[in-house]
Amino acid sequence: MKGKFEDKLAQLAFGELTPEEAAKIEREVHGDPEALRALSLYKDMKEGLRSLSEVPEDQFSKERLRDAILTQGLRPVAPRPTSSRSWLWMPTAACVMGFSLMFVMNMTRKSHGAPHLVIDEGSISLGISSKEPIRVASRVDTNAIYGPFLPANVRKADTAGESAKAVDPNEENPRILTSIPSDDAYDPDLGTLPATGSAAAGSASTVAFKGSTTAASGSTSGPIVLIDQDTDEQTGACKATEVGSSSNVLVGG
Amino acid sequence: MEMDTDIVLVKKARDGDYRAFEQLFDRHRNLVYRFAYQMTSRRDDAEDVVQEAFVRAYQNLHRYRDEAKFTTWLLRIVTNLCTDQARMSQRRLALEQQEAAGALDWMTSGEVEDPVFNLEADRRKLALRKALNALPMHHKSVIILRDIEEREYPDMAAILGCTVGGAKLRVLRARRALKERIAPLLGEDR
Repeated sequence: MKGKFEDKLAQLAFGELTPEEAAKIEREVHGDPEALRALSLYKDMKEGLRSLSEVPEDQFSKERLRDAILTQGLRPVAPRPTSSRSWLWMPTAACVMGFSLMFVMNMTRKSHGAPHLVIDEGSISLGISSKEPIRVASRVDTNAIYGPFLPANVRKADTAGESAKAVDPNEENPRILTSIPSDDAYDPDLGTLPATGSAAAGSASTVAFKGSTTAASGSTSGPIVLIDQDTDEQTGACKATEVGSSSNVLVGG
Repeated sequence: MEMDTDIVLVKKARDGDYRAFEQLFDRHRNLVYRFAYQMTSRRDDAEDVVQEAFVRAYQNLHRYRDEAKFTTWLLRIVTNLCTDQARMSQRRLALEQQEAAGALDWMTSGEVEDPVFNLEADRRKLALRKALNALPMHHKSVIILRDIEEREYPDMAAILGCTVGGAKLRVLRARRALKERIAPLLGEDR
């Protein structure tokens, strides 16, 4: 069936043709079962659509409308953006975010350049590349680390030109110093931690994580004393064990 | 006569007379609600559309030009709102189709069943409603305006923003589309 003829059938069924046109189409339909079926279908459709006009009663009130207008209607209608360049904010925002990210990363990298506490650059690995500049604390007080384990009458002596420091056994709260020196205090020749004195036996052996040069021995892996928490029954002091080398000793691990 | 009165009420409402706007609401709320209900098929959705339509009308009264009928302008707002709402309710429609054959219809339709209703007529009505709802919005709106609400072509042209000839053409296309959908449902018992 042609589209135009079908449209005429629809118009006939919905009563939109003049009497002359209607009579003409009815004559054409007569004897055409397909056209008759289509015409019947359109008539059913028309009746069915009319029956759909019944709607349930609404429960809308003036009060509801008033509330809606008070909450929404009094606001001025926001004008739509008319600029053809409104898309520019996206690349601009992307650039700003990119630069911000780069800045933050740069700052983070700088902060990583702060002084690192390294015991022996030759023997202890802290997982940083050798090319990275390493700053070394020139003086570390072992009382900060070993204080609880050391006997009160232990005297310590700094070496390598550092001022000697004595721990007064009568001092109740000996001053604990753990200092990261400034750039001026850093000795590039020294390169490692200065020594603190050996504790228990008063020998010249260096204490744990001592740098090699500070012991004036010149070796790259000086002796190391491991201080135990257990106390010696005879002396009452913490037990100390001297090991031959500080190599492969991981500090802080 | 009615148009003149509408224009007077619009002018008063523009000048800040809210009672005049409420009079406009009283006059045309049924028209707007009927059309919205046909477009949405749900009472609560239709009421939302009515509310939003009158709020927008109030906000944009200064844009209404007096040469058009107020109802035409109002129905154009409703048509746009229903089109927007149809886009947003796609997901909800999918959910409803999963419901067991409209088991929750009683919650939203607001229809009261007649105890002696005709099963056959009801089946056809339901099939027709489903076929109508399945039509694209541009077909659905012209079928509702012309064949359910029985509006004249010049009025439809003003609402749809087209010529009278264009409105007639749209109606013919929409009817053909509806017939193709309804034929398997209504014609199967022939």
